[in-house]
Amino acid sequence: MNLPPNPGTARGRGRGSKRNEEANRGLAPQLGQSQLAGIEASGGSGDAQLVHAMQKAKLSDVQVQVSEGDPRGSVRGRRLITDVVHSRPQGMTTKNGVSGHRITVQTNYFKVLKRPNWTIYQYRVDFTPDVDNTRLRRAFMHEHRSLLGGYIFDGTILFCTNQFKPVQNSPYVLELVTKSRAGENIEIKIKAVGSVDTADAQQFQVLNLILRRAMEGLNLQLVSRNFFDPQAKINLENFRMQIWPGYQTSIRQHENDILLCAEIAHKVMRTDTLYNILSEAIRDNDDYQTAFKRAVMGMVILTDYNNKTYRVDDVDFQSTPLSKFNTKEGDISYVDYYKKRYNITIRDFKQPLVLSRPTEKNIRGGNDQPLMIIPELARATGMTDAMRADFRLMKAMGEHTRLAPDRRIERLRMFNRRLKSSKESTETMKSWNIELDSALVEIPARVLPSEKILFGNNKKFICDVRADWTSEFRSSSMWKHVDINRWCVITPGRNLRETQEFVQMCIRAASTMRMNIAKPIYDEIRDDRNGTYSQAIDNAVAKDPQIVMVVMRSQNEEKYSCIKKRTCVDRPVPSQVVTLRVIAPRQEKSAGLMSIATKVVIQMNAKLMGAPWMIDLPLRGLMTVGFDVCHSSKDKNKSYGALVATMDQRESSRYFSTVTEHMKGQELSEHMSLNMTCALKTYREHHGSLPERILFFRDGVGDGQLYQVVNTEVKFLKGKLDEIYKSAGKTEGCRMAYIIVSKRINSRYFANSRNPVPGTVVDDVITLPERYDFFLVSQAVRQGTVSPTSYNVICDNMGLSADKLQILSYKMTHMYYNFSGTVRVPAVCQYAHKLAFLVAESINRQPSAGLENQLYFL
Amino acid sequence: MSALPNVEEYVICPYDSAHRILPVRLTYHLTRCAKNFPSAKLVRCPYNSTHLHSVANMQNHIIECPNRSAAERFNLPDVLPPVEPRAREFLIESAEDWDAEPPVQTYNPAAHCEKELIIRNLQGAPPAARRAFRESERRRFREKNQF
Repeated sequence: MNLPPNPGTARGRGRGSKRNEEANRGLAPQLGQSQLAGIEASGGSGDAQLVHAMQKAKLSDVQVQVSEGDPRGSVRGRRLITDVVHSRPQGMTTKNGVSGHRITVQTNYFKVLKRPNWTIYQYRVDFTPDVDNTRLRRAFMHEHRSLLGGYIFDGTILFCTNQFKPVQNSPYVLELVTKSRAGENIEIKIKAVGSVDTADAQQFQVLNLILRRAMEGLNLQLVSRNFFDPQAKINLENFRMQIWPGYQTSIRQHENDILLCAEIAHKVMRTDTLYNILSEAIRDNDDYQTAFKRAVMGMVILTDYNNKTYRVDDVDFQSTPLSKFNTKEGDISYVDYYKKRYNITIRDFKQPLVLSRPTEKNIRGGNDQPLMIIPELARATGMTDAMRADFRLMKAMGEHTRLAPDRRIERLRMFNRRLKSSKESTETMKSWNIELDSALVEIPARVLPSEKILFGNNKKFICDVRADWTSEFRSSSMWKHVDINRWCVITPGRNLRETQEFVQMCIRAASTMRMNIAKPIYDEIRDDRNGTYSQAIDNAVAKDPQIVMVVMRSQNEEKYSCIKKRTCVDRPVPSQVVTLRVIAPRQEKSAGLMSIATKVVIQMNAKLMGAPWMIDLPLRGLMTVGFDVCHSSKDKNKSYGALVATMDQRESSRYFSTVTEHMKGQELSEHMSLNMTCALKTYREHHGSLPERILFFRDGVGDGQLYQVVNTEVKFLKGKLDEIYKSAGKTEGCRMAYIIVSKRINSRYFANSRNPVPGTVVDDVITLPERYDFFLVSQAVRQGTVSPTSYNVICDNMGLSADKLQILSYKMTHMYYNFSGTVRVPAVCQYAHKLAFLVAESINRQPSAGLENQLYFL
Repeated sequence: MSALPNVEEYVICPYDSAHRILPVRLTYHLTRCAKNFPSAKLVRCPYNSTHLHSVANMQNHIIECPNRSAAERFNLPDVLPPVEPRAREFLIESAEDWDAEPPVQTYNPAAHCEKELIIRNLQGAPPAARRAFRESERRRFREKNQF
């Protein structure tokens, strides 16, 4: 078989080399069979060209991309299939797509060369008497290193290349004695646990430990699970903060090789200890006790000696470091205790102590005594609200933490160079026979073809790399608009004139888009108390308007919450809240106001079941569903899960949305099935039949919950849906694809040291072998590096190839009506997030079911 | 802080009365405990999957299940007065028609993992099954590496 040579970089090319063998292996019968099936299926459509092309593909050899898409070559004018690199005969399913323009991207991964071929023995180490500090434990083991040979010890588990023979009559294979700093004898008992082979998944634990050891050789400090560089710290003097750059690394088994993922992270360290805060309080106020209490209550603090964080619950002004407390060895004062255990000297003996109550986990574990912490040793962490609101501080931080792609790549290369040049780290890696590649993994990626955005009067816009079509609204009308004939505007009496001007502007903006907005009924309120607003809304709703616009004088969470509660729960009506700052800005040119008016009109149209724009959808009967969860800000145990479903988007722009409340840890399956049943009912009422295919996007699932979600939620949902479809007469059940969307990932990729263009998809080499997943960059960013989104398909019987799933997901990111550009996750997921956020923050209860067919929450 | 240390809000596992579990972790526990009791024919309540009863008792339980109100609410929703005549619905014509193409089988990652030397672990299985899996993987790697 003549296959074209592999172009581009050979490194990390995924399955490039092996594929030739597989391609030849006995697939001819399969090939013939599936082709035939295909021809029969499409025989009805009578497209002679189609049948002929397929036959040609079967006979000729492999230069053509043999996928479903190809035979209709003449129709697919806009699909550019440039280099034909590999051929996959039909019948062999793969998670790689084929369409789009091919490029090479660099990722933030390094390859681990030389797959280790050792066998390591695992031991458990116990210390008598118990030594708490990990560093001390490791120091003790270090003394015996000649006996152990090459070893890795993380404080409890010991991995060693030597195997110690078991000793008679003893569970321990080795017993050592060493002297502590205070002169007492410490016994070290080592027990054999097992062995780790090249095939074990546990070797990743060992590999990561080895990497940690190597990174320690670079003088990096471990702060809560990642390594940071205190020497390269950036001081923000005036804000009393330091930013420490660092790396987040992990070694995992990816599609074909073991890869190391390195991501640049930054840690914000406040230079204040609680002692500084106390001194300030004493200096500034007479009543320093209440001032100090107010400042530190609820704060999270970090103690440097054991790298643990605590939450401050109370301040005890009666105790001092000289007070005594009870331990197993009798009463000891805090000063002596810290000196003995951590070798820290406390300087101020009169400072009060800070109390931290144990969490529920600690209580169940047996410690239910509050912990007393010395302010001198406690460092403040986190950012106060005042700091977050200070935009100068955020801007300064942003300059250092938001890295442009070329700087990021440079930092990663520097990290690699350091690892390879530092003496200690190279020693560690060499003794374990591990070598890291010195260049970033480069992989082939594809840029999906640009999507067409459809506006009114059949006007089309082809998306470009900026992925933004706001300016199109100046000259086109919306795809489907709803004329607003009857509506109310509620405004404070004092600002009636500005409101009227703004409404005029909106009417003008709408008329350029050929949408009619009639003059509203103005309702002036005397003051802007919550009660007055509520009453005004009640009065307005009695007149049965299509939409109510409420003008607030300034941004106020409580007022917004009250207004939304009224309009979403008690008297369901779509509402648009605007603030005076936005609609009547001072010293602004009116051109800026026009664009604001346009955006408001687009949003109001979307809330009234209109569609500002549409996208080209080649599937019939598709229902897209998005689900997200948001935690309530007021009650920590409650969360709200929102589900948003589209109807068949080829024919209708209606939606279905619902929110359910659940307690922390409660299973979501039954809520989801119930909501899906209602969504299906709505679809059937609207279109007359059940959807042909369902595409379900689930957000809000972390890696740890993945197994649970797969096994309970999906199984339950699928069972319920199959039941419904079978009882409606469709014997093959429901055709559904369940995709988990994650935004919080560490993988990044770059095209030519710049941000990848929207539509860049990666589905090989850096994906995980046990998953059917791909990465997609759908948004365009102006600052910093773009972060791709990970789509993990865990259940799929839609009958579409991976290629089509990727294109569908990309299409879905264009449909978010609150932003005239692409968003990071599919639109239904973003809608679900917005709805859940609205309910969790402002409404705090289930919205009225009367609004479930509209996007009232935008 | 909500609960005092002495108040134990444990729930008793329906499969084995000796198990006491925190309500937060009940669903996870049920997933794992069910595998140990394949003969206990307990059915899940349709309103709350942590309610498990035998088939006979399920009828009684459904009548008095506290989570039933959530489902009933969907059957009798609050309705808005009929909305005004909507703008005409549309039909988007598309250049392609994916419905006419033959259905494709979905990708099964396990096939790739079997063929190549991919290191993996068996999640969610009891310890004995995991041990057996590790052994079989070791053998497979050793054989593959002989080439």
